[in-house]
Amino acid sequence: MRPAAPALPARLRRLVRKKPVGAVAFFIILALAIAAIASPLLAPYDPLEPNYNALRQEPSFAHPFGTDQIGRDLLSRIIYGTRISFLVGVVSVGVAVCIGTPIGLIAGYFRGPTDELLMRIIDAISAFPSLVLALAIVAVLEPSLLNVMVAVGVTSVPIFARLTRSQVLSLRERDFVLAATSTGASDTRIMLRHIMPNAASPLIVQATLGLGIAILAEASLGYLGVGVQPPTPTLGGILNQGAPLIERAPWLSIAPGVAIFTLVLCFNLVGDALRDALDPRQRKG
Amino acid sequence: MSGYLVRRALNAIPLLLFVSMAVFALTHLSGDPVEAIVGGGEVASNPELEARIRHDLGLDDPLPVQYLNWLKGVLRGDLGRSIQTHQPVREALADRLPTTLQLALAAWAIGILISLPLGVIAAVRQNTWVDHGATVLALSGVAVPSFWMGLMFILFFGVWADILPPSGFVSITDDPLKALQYLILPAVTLGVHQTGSLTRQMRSAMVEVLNQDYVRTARAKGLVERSVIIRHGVRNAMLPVLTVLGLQAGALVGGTVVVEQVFAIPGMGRLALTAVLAHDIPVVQGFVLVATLAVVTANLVTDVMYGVLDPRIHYGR
Repeated sequence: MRPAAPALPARLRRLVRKKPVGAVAFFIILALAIAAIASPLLAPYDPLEPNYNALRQEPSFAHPFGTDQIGRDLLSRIIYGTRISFLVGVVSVGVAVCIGTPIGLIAGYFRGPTDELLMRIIDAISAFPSLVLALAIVAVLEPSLLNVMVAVGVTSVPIFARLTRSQVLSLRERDFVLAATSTGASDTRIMLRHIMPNAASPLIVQATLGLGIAILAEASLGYLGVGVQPPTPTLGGILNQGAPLIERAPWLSIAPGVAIFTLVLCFNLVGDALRDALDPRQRKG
Repeated sequence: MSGYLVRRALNAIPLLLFVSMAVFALTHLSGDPVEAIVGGGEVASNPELEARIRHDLGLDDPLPVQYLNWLKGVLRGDLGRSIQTHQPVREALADRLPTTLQLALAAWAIGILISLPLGVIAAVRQNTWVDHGATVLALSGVAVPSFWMGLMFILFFGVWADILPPSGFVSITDDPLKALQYLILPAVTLGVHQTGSLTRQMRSAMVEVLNQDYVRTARAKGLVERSVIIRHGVRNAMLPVLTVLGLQAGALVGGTVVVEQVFAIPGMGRLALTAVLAHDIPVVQGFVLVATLAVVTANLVTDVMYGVLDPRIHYGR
């Protein structure tokens, strides 16, 4: 029997005290997520509506982040863009978890030729540089919201597969799994009821870090012009349109970049803090 | 060692075969290649032309035969022709490879020059403000989008301060001084992005090494602290850091696509992006193949370097 771990809420409270930076980052993400969900209520203007009386205006009270080349309010576009960032982040990490975790689970549990075959496929996917793979997928499928989510998700599959496999390889030798086997539990039951719940912590940490990576990847594709296509406002897309005007309208490039940076940094900080809370063995010296 | 090298290289063959199949599949996944060449309308109105092109390109062969023919061509260095420019893909990539290599190597060097000392200092001054500062810097390096950092560099150093060219490229073989001026901003942009994971890896490896018995012994012998850190610490901490360095090859290749676009550098990445936007699949295929080959080679070199840095590892014994 393992000693009982403190309840999760108690651990989280302790974490907030011990990792205040992570806690602040979490509340920033929460605020941004609420803003993203409530964007139709919070955005002061329609993000798609051009205003030919307010072309390329500097930041002002009326337009705190300024306006773009066709007079659209940048703050409103960033609020809506953050919504897309969250959506792509969550769905693509979901895609990666849904594909990568079963692969790692099956490979680690059955070992032998199944493991060899599945991990060689994962090795092959990892051989592609992730942005290059995402570019190739988008080149084939055409740029769209769904295809960007698939492309970003597929590039993250290997990390979830490897992480799950390494967890399962160690867990399947533990006493509670042997006990379940001796009671005649099926492989599926052992994998889903006994192994997966115990392998979840590092996966949650990786998913949190993965959200930041996915948001960065989506923004990169958007900046390169192969992400979600205009007129849908995305943070990378706004930068793509603002970059040629960097000398005359630098505000178009500053605010969206700060938004991406804040989102990714916060997810990284929360991921780091969660790692300490959920997996004490990983605690840094 | 040579036995291990051969085995490791042989292990890479199935991997490369799988990669080649995936790259070959791009042609067919992206729609009808004949339509891509002559246009959908032409295909519909001129079935004879379509049949001739299909036969000439070998597209009427069974898929495995098509793949083998394509693979034979690739092994001979024939990557096909660009649909847009009709230039051989191999030639287009070879023209731009030196540019991308200069950028990638300069960025790699900058990444190492920043992160290794930073990681060592953070480990030596563990839990001080230097350490916390290095951690914040490392986390920021990972979180900041490289294209945005590049744009901000252009704004600060190229536009407002006007001390460095905001975009463009000069080859180091043409004018080394001018090349350096043009290379600084893109290389720092790409290099800083690599420092995050490298600094953190170096720090944690150094923290672990500095707590080892042999380091305590070295200090007890009265060795100068600098010598303890460099001779006993850094060399042993380099091993895990090397893995990260090898793994960064992929991020570096991907990063060149973005940074070349930001600074209007005529490299392979920019060529690939233009091809993606124009649906020029042969060029995309060529770029993906070269980029992946570079990553596989970098991983192989990393494995070999393990033995050089750590004499305890004797391959194949």
